[in-house]
Order: sequence, then C-alpha cells, then structure tokens
Amino acid sequence: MSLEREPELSDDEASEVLALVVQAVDKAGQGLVVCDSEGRVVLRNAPARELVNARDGDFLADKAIEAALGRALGGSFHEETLDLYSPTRHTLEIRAYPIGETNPPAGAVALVDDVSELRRLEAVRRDFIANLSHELKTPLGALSLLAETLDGEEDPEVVARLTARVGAEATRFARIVDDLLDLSRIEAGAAGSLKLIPLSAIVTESVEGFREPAAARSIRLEVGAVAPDLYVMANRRDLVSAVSNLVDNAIKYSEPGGAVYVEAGKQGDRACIWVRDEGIGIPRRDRERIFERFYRVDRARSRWTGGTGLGLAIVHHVAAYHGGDVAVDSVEGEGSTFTLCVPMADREQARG
Amino acid sequence: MLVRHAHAYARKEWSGDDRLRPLSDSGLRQAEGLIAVFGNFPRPSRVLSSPYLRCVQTVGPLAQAHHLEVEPAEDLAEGQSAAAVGLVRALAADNVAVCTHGDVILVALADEDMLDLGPNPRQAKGSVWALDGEDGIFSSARYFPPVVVESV
Repeated sequence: MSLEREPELSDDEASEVLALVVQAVDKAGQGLVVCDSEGRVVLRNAPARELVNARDGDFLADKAIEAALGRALGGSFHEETLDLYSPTRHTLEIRAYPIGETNPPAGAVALVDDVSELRRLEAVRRDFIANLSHELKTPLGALSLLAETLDGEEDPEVVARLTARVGAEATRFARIVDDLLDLSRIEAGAAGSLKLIPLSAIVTESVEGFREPAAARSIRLEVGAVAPDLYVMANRRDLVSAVSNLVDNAIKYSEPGGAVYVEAGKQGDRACIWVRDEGIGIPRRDRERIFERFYRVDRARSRWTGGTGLGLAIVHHVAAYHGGDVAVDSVEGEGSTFTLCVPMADREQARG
Repeated sequence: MLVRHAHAYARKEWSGDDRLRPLSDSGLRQAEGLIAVFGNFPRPSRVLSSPYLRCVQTVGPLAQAHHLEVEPAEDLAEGQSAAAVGLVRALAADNVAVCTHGDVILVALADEDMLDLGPNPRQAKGSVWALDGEDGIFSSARYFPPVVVESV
C-alpha cells in the first residue's frame, strides 16, 4: 500500500486518509513522533504520548526525543538509550530517521520503545546463568578437592567423614539438576492438565513424608482439619510438591522444640494453604527476593540444610500456573508464614 | 592465607598419638618452601595453626622467618569445620597465615561467598589458597602450589 497522495484524491479525501493514518499509528506498539523540516512536532501517537506524559521523567524523555529528531533532520540515523530513574526505573530506546530523499530532509521520525522489561529479563537471565554456573561448579569443585584430600588418607575416621562429604556433594549436584529440570518443565507450561482435587488431599499428601523427620528433630507438625467440600483444579504432583517444599523449609528452619502448623481453607474465592513456623524468620530485605532462583537468605545455613536454592522458585511457578500465588509474612525471631493460594474450583461446574 | 599442612609420615609408620605425627622429610622441605610461596604476599602479621604437630611444623619455618610465634588454635584441628570456617571468617581482613588440614573449610567458604576456585581446584599438601576479603566475606581466591626446597 502506498500512502503517497494519488492525483485523483481530493483535499477532503486526503484529510480523511490522514485522519485514518493518525488513528492507525495510535495502534502501534511503539512510540512514534514525527516532525517537519523545521523540527516542529506534527504527530505523536498514543504510545509516544503515554511514554512521555506518564511520568516525572517525561521532561527528559521529551528532550531526548527532540534532540534525536534534530540529529535526524541533519540527515543521518540516530539511536540512543535513555535511562530514567523517576518515578520508577525505565529504559527507553529512541531511534530517529530522516524522512525523504531530499537534503535537508522533509522531516524526521522517531521511534520510541520502552525496553525496561526486556532489559530486566535480560538481566535476570544473565544472573541466572552466572548463578547456575556457580551452583554447579561448587559441588564439582568440592568433589575435586575432596578427592585430593582422600588420596593417601589412611585414618578410617577421616576417610569416613570425607567419603560422606563426597556423597553429600554428589547428591547436591543431582538435586540441583533435578530441580532445574522441574523448573524448566513448569516454566515451559508442560504442567499437564489440571484435575479436580479436594484441598484436604493436597494437604494430607504434602505433610505425609514429614512426620518422621519432624519428630526426629523434636518439632511438632500440626495439621489443621480441612473442610471436605473445598476443591481446587490442580496438577496433583506439582501442587503437592510445592506445599511439601514449604513444609520441608518450615521444619528445616525450626529449632528443636518448635512447631510447624499447616492449615488450609477458603479465603474469598480462593483456596489457601498456610504453612507457619516458629523459626528464625526472614529479614524484610530478603522477603521479596526469596522466590528468585538461587536466592538464599543465608548461604551457610542453606549449605548445611542441603537446599538447592530453587525450591521456592518452583513453588512460585507452580502457584502461578495454577492461577494463584505464594506470599510470605515473617517476623524476625518469631517465625514465618507462607501462604499459597489458588483459585477455588466450583465442584459442580468442574465436573459438568 | 589458607595453608594445608605439608606431607607427613604415614599413619601406619607412626604408632604414637596422631596429633603428634610429624612431617616427613619432603614435608619439611615443603615447609621451608612455604617461605618462598609467601614471597607472593605481604608479610603475614600472625601465623595460626591447628595444634596438630604436622600443621605446627608446616608453618614453623615461615613464622620464624618473619619473627613470629605459631599460635595454636583448637578450632583449626581436624574435623572442626564449622568452627574453623568461623575463625577464618573472623580473620578475613587480616594478613594471616592459617594452617589447617585438608578439609571442607575452603569448600564451605567458596560456596557461601560464591568464590571462583577455577575449573579443577586443587589443595595439595603444603599448598596455599590466598583468600582476599573483608567484613568476614571473601571475594577472591588464588591457589599457590607447594614449593619444595632442595634440602633443609
């Protein structure tokens, strides 16, 4: 399609076409600003108005776009990235092109993209790869060092201790790989179909394997009764594994003599499971980040408890693909409560 | 500076208390060589060691060369991983030689502080890991293999 004015187009028709084009560019995903040969802005589409007007940093953004257009009027393509810090951190990518073959150009157009989310995702991916490399290298490095230490060691006691460490490091490596596979399966959305499951069954299965380990550490595991008429649409294995993960953490971070409470019930139109401990709690600054992959509040503690740093990330993703979420509330020195909520299933509807 | 004790007599050749098992001849030469290895670093202000004889002997010549006494520390004894990690952390910002057993201290520190030990880390007897850090946290680690001097 050529937007060039056809000879038979009347002025009225031309205005109509122009109005149409102006509305059309409002639908574009990126900001578009056009100026004439004098540098006067003649068109600013909706995304461009939004990018520039929505925040305090608009003054800076506006200035940068104008400057870019000015450069383009000089006859050459211009590109720049603009970091704005107010009110929130944003990154804009501005590309400006001269319009027409004449010199000076008939005008210039600037295309503006908000690349903040893209940049954030890039950073997350970069961090993930860096963390992953470290996480995998650590047990391997440990194995390498342990092998050297074991070499020529004759004291059966020392050999036994070091051999146990070799086993622990190998297990750790395998668990990281397992968790990574789980995480990527869940992230890829290959979660399988959701089935109608009573909430009580999820709770019962999730705590099953922990009665003994809790008792062994003198920790009371108290599970509240769950109303039998509450149902969720869930991938049984994933949801049970997510809740188990929360219970496992609660036990690990409890002191002997403490208690872990697991309760479930209805909250609004959602089914929620609460896992509460009386442990050391989680500092405020860490609370938002504990669901990130490989984020650890206390690396030393995580090392001794054998955590992979992926457990809560898996919980987060499982909750998300069930249409729910997981949150934490904590008071340092008093304990933490993890709340996992998913939409409540309407039993009749789900069966129908 | 994390020193692993030098080569000692084999346990089966030593009938006495394991804590008193001494360095072998080559171990003694490694201990002398440690002075050369420490030529890579600023002069240590203290020399701490596991009280086991093979450790004390390892850093003996080094301490003497710098007119220091070897300070025995029970936390550095064999099998005291957690205590040893704590002690080493407390000394993070200091220029201290710490002699201990080939154990999990380095592994624990590397993991907790996300230190890069390289693709195939080693910790030979008589070797040194130079750890840089402050406020109880280490930021880098370099390996120095043992140096064996010709004769003692």
